[in-house]
Amino acid sequence: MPEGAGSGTQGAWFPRWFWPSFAAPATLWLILFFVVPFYVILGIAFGQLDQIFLTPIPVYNPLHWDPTAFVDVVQQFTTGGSIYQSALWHTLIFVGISTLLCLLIGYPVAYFIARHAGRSKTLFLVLFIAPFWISYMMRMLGWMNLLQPNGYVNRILQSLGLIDQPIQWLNGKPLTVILGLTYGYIPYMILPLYGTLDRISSGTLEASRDLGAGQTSTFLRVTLPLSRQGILAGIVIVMLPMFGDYYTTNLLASTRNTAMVGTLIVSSMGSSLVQQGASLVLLLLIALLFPMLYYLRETSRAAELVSGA
Amino acid sequence: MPEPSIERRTPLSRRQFLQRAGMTGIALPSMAAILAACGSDNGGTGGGGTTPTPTLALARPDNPVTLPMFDSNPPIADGLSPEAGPLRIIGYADYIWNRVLKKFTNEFGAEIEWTEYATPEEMVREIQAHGADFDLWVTTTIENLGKVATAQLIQPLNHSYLPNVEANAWDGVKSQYFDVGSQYSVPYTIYSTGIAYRNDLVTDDVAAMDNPYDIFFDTRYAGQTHLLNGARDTLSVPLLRMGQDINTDDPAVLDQAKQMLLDGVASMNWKFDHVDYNELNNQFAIHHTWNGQLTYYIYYLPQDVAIDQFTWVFPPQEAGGKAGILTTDVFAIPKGAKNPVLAHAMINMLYDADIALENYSYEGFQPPNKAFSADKVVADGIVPENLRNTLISEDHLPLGSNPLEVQEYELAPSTNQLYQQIYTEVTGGV
Repeated sequence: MPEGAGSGTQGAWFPRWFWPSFAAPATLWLILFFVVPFYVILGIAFGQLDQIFLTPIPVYNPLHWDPTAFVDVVQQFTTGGSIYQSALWHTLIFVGISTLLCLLIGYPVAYFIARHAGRSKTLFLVLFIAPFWISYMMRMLGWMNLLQPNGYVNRILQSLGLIDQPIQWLNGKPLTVILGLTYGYIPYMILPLYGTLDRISSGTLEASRDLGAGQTSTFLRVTLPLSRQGILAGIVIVMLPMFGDYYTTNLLASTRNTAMVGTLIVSSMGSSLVQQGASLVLLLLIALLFPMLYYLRETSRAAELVSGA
Repeated sequence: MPEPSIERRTPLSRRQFLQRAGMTGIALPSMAAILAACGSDNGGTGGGGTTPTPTLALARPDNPVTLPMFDSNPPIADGLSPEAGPLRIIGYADYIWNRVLKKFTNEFGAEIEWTEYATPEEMVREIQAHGADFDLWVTTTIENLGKVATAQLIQPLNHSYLPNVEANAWDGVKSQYFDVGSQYSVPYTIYSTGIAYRNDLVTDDVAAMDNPYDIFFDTRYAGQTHLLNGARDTLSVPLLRMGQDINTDDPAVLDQAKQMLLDGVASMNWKFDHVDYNELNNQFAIHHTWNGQLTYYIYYLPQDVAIDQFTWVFPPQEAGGKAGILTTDVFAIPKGAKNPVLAHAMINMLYDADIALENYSYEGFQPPNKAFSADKVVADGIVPENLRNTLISEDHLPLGSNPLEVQEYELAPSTNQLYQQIYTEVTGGV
C-alpha cells in the first residue's frame, strides 16, 4: 500500500493534513507568482488608461471591466494585413518549422545516446547539456557574430566555393530566426526524448526482432510508438516558450517581416499600449492552453494504459 | 538657404484647431482630476501665473512654459548635508560612466544603485508608481517633463547646490522653453539625430542631396539600412522627409507618414534598432542614429573597418537645408526622494569641467558644458577628425531658436497614443 494513502486516510501515523501540506510551498508559489500576476494582467487588459500619462490603471472588480482594448486586439487579429495578424502568422510558421526541426534533429541524437553511446552516454549527455551553462542571450549574441557578413559561416561557405558574396543572414531573414530558435531550444527536445528512449527496455526490442521484425520495422512499430510520450513532451516543452520568444528575432532579425507575437507584447509593455500588451498575453495564454490540455490528456491516457496493464 | 518648412510656424487650419481643441478638452479635466487626487494646491500654469487648478501646458519655443510650483512640493532647504545614501538612480543603461560613479562614492561615501529602463515611457510609469524609491532621474525627456512636474512626480531643484551648473553650463541651456528658469530640470546631454553611413559602401554624397532623408528609402541599400526604434524617432523620418512638423497631430499627415513607412518596410526591409557594437560588424550601410553613438563606434569597430569609413550627416547643416532633431535629456529629482542632497551633488559633479569631459570620453553624448571644446576632444582623439561635425557648439542654442533644429515636444495624450499605434503597426514591436 502506498504510504501516503494509507497513513493519510487512516491517520495511523500522521494527521490527515500532513501529506497534503507538502504541496503548500508549490501552491503558495503558484498563487503568488502566477495567479496573482495573472489577475493583475486581467485587471490591466480590462482596466482603464490614465488619460495624461497613458499608464494603465488596473481594475480588479470584474463588474467594472471594460473590454474595449481586448476586443480591439481580437479585431486586429482578424483584420487582413494588420501587424497583429502578420505577427501571428510569423509566429505560427517560425514555431512550427523550428519545432519540427528540433524533433527531426533531436530524435536521432537522443536515439544515438540512449541506444548506441555505450559507456560514453554520460559524456554525450553532458556535452548536450553544456549549452545550458551559457545564457540563451549570450548564445544568440554568439550567433550574431557567426552570421555577420564577415563571420565564420560566410567565410566557410565562401572558402568552400558555395557562395561568391557574403549572405546577409542578419538583415531580417525568417530562415535565420528559424535556425536561431531551433538552435536555442533543441536541448529541451533532446532531454525528454532521451529519457523516454532510455527507458524502453532492450527486452522489448529483442522480442520484436525475435518475432521477425527487422530494424526498421522494430523502430517504426515498437520504438517510435513507445517514445510517443517523449515526443509530445519535447514538443510541448519546446513550443510553449517559443511562442512567447521575442529576443531571438529581435537579435537576429529586428524587422517587421520577422515580428512575432512576443515582440508585440514586449513592445507594448514598454510603451503606452500596455492594455494591448496585456490583452495579447491573455490571448496567447488561451491559445497555448489547447496544446497543453492535449498533452495532459495524452499523458493521463498513457498513465491509465500503464496502470491498466 | 534653409527653408522654414516647419508646420508649427504656419497658422492652424480650422480642422487642426478643432482637433487640438478636442484633445485639450480631453486632457485637461483628467489632469485636474489627477492633480486633485494627488492633493495639489496652489498650482501655476504655463506663463508663470498661479491658478487654483494647474493645467498641463504644452511647451513650444513660441510658447515657453514656467512649470507650476506647489506649496506641497517645495525644493529642499539650503545648506543641508549630504545623506548617507545609497544614491538611487533611474535611467538608461550606462548613461554615466562607472568611473565617475565611483568617484562620487569616494567623495561622498554613498554607494550608487542604478535601475535601468529602456524607454522613457517605462521610466515615467516607474516614477509614477514608485517615484520615492529613486533619488535622481537621469533621462527625463522634453516630451515628459511638463506632465511629471505638473503632476508633482518630481520636485523643484535648489540651485544653491548646483554652483557648477551656474558656472559651467552653456548660457543657452540655463532657461529653456520647456522649463523656464530651470525650476525642475537641468540638461545632462545635448544631442542631434541624423544619418550615419559607411562611405565605403554608400557612394552617394548624402550631405549634398536635396533631401538627405531620401537615402533611407534608396533600394540599392535595402537590407542594409537601419532606423531608430522608438515611436517618435521612427516617425520623424517620414515627417522630416516630407518637410512636416515632427510633432504634428494631423491624422492625415500621420497617415501619410505611416504609409511611407509601410512602403519603406516593404522595399527596404529596415532593421529597427540603435546600432551598437554588434551591428557595427559590417551589418549596416546606413543608419538613422544619434550623434553620440558615433563617438563610441571607434572602440567597437571590427578589425577590417576604420573609423574614417563613417560619415555623419545632420540635415540642417547640409546643402538641402532640411530640418533635423537637436534636443536634450535632462536631470530631474523625483518627489519624495530620500537622498535629494546627494542627487543635487551628483548633478553638480557632472557639471564639473574635468568630470564632464571624463564622462563624455566614455559616454559619447555631449554635456552642454563651457569646458567642452570641439578642438580639444578631437585633439585628444576622443572624436576622430572626420566625425568632428557630430559635435554641437553653443551657437545652436537656445533650443528652438533655429526653426530647422527641432525637438520632439510634449504631445496631447491622444496624439501620443496615435504615434505609438503607428509605430507598432510599422515595426511589429521589434
